[in-house]
Amino acid sequence: MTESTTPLIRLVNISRVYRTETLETHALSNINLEIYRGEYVTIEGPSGSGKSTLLTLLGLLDVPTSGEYELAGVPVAKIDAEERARLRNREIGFVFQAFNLIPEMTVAENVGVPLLYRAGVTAAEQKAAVAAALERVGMTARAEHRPSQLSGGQQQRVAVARAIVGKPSLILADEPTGNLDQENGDQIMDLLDELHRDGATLVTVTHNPRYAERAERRFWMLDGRLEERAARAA
Amino acid sequence: MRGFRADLLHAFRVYRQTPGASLMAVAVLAASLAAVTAFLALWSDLALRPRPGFERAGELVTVVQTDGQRAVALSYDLIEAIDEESATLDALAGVFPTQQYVDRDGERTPVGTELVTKRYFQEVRPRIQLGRPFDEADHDPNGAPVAIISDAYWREHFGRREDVLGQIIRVYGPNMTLRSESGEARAGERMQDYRIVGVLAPEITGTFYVGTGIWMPYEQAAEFLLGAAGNYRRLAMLRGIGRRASGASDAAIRTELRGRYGEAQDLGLLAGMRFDAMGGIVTDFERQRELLRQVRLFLAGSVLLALVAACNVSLFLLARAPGRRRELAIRMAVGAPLKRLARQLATESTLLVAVAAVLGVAISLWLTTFVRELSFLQSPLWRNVTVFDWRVLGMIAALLLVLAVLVSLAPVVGLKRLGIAEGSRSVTARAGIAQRLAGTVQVAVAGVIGGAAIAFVWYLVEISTFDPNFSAPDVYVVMVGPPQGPLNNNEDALLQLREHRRETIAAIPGVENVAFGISVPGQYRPLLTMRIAAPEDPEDQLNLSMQPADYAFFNLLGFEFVAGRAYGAEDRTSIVVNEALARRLWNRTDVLGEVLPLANVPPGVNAPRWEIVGVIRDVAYGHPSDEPEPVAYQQVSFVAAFEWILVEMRRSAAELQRELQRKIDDGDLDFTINQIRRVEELWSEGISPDRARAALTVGAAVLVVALAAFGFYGTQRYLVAAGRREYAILGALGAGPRALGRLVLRRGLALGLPGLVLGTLLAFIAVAWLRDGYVSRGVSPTAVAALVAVGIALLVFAATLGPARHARNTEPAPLLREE
Repeated sequence: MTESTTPLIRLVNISRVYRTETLETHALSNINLEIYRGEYVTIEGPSGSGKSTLLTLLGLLDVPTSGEYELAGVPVAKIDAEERARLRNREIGFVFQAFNLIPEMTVAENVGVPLLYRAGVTAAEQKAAVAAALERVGMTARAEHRPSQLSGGQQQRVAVARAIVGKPSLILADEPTGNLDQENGDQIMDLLDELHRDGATLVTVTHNPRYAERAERRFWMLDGRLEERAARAA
Repeated sequence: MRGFRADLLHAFRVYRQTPGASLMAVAVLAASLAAVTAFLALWSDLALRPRPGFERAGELVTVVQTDGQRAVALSYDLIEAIDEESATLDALAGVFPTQQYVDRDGERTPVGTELVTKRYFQEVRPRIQLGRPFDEADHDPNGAPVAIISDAYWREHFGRREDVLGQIIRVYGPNMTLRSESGEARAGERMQDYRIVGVLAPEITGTFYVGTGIWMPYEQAAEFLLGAAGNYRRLAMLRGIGRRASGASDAAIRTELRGRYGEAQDLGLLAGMRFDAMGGIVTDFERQRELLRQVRLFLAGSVLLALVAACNVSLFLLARAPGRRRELAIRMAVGAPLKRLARQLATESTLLVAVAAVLGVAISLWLTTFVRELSFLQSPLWRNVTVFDWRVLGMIAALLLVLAVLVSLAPVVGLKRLGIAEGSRSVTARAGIAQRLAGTVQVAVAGVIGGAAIAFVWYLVEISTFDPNFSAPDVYVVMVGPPQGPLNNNEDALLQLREHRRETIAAIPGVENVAFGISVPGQYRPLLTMRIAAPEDPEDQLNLSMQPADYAFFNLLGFEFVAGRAYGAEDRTSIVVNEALARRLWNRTDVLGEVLPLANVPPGVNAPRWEIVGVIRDVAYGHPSDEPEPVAYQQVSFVAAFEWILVEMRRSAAELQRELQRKIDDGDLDFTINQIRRVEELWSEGISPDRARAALTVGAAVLVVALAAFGFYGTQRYLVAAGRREYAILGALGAGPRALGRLVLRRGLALGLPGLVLGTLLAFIAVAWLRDGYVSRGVSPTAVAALVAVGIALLVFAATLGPARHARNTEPAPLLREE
């Protein structure tokens, strides 16, 4: 479901090396990747293959050791941490395996967190956006609950609502079903499918081939190298 | 026991891993404990430890009459009345400390003597080691003369022989020179034999002064020794020492005596005086009260310092707990219950406190001597200041217990939050109750002590910039010894002597001017006072200090005349007064031509007529905070025999002393030099106690503020470290480094807010209290509190900057993958 000829994500010869005094680990080696707006991409691979490292690079949570990365046409290597944060806030929504909700906040407050860091958003706008996101994931009734009062599936729905509340260009999901049972996992993946159908660009990391099959493009990672498998027939 | 040993061993290992931080924690605790111990030792010596040698000495109480500035002795009649009637005192005795002369192989030998009233041995009950105390008959004015001697006197003069009882001490009567128009007659060559009836215990070296050798019955000895001519009952010469009734406090005794004898002028209560009482045997009532105030102030400050140090160490232990999560998790995994782990942490904390205690007591041995030598605590009243007193050690033990609990509190309370299961799931970290409490206490105490330091420095600046209304940059005062032999009260002779001295000293090379006076700024000696009355109201009377000063005195010291001039060299009927006197009597300063209104001049007596020829600005002879006293200066009076010499010269004091001594040795001058001081230095010495007090307070404040900042920093650092996952989440959601830094700063300020509010409030109260005797009324509690508020805000801000930077540098990626 390609919508544009300009890639939303463009990686050229990206490498990420972790160095200690005695050891050099090549987490990513010469990754080349282009993802277009509206695409649904999944990355599979064994543990330690570099999937999550790639996702954190895509999410601007880390910087490559070498290579070029452009997000929405912006070369991210040339921008500072503040600008990366601003870009991350506007363009990227994260869904984590461990949900990463803040326990002291209510569901609504958790969902509204990204908007706290976006300039010019009024309280009313924030409230409306949070309500819409919660409705989108079916969690309106739980808005005033604390995360500890929710099941794992519900917590991940809240995490998804938080990821979409700022209407980002890209949603990155790192093993979003890893901490869920099959039923809840299916529901979360159905939710992500719906978001994709509504136009979201989606990149997920998963171990589960059944969920990987839902993507339009499937990539395989091994020892820090990325290889695209056959794309699913549209 | 085995478990405890294992805990102790492990504690050593834990502290050895971070030797720098552990040593600092011990040092901080030890320093504060040393300060508390030192001031406790001083307090105990002054007020807690009963005088040895007296039966149930804790019940003894000293009674005086005082005007609030100086305490005066009581008359025999007053003591007798109080002894018979008081409900708060079971008994009251009188002691007159004096020096008498005894005959020793034909030589007059001085010996410290105490004349004691009949209730002394009955009720004050000093322990007798040999013989008997005085009985009723011994106190009969016509009774046989008897004496009791000290152990030292017994040893020195009788070689501790048992046959001392019944031996005779031959005592000289008063040595007086009586003058009349027909010539001089010397009295006091008569002697009286006192039979020794007892020897006091070795620990009694004197009731009020160390070195007393002989005790005599006041009633019997007063007339012979003092020449009191039957008047011994009315003379205010006795220091009152009593035994309090069960449960009666000092305040209750004071209240009763003031109520019952407030108007007892007929019994010998002096005008303007009121009764006061203080526990123990007090030699110098007002000085002891002042010393107690100072010691209590700094003791309170030291205890606060110790509390801050304990909070600090507690937070330090808590802050390092996350690093031990793995160790604690393993212990829990192998079955260690939470209580057992709490005991382990408490053992570690207690070990720290115990090591600090040993070190602190060792340091206090030196510190006790050091603080006693500080100018505002120097006093002959210290008896045997020692740390090794069960009261001091008991209080220190109680404090250590509190500190151990405090130090253990945060890590033990934090233990549950650091359990492995909790810890692994934790995302955020908010300050717990222990952290909030410790943080608030630290910041508040820093506010109080900081406020006190600001107040003291403010006051110091105020008095340092105070204009004492004199200027004598090159003027020395030569403090000469008192005249030898009979007192010369011939004014002509005194003036002649003065002019001879002036001529001789002026001839010394470099001497520019010479003057004479009884007092100089920094050393005020009201040797002669007289009663005067306001011209408009003869009932409105006051005591006026008459200061003999020669005509050159005013100019040499740069005194400023607001009206008139100094009297001339030959003028003996004119006087110069200060503004305080002029305002007090006439309510104006232009009083030239007025005559000093003497009070109570009996009819028919030809009173001197002193006319005012000059009015000077009030000169601060003493401390800048003292109210100026009314003073009048006259050319000469009989006390001029005690006057000092003022010399203006641009050479050193040592050179002046050499030159003067040469003249003395050559027989040109006839005095002895006690010391020579530069007048301005002498005056500025008056504020050296304030300087020392300010320096000590500022030092303590710097330490407390540094500790509070360090503790607050530690808490914030811990919270950021423990809650780094939250910062990672926020970072992933778009919070930039600046936003994360601001978040930590906001949280830090919120954590410090209760301490800020409490510290500011307590600083206000503390400064308002300090204005009552420690600093001047010019020090504004509001302004100091405002400065404290700003200071605390800056402290909290500065202590949060580091953790905020740490939060800014959070790397979300690895943290968000943590399970």
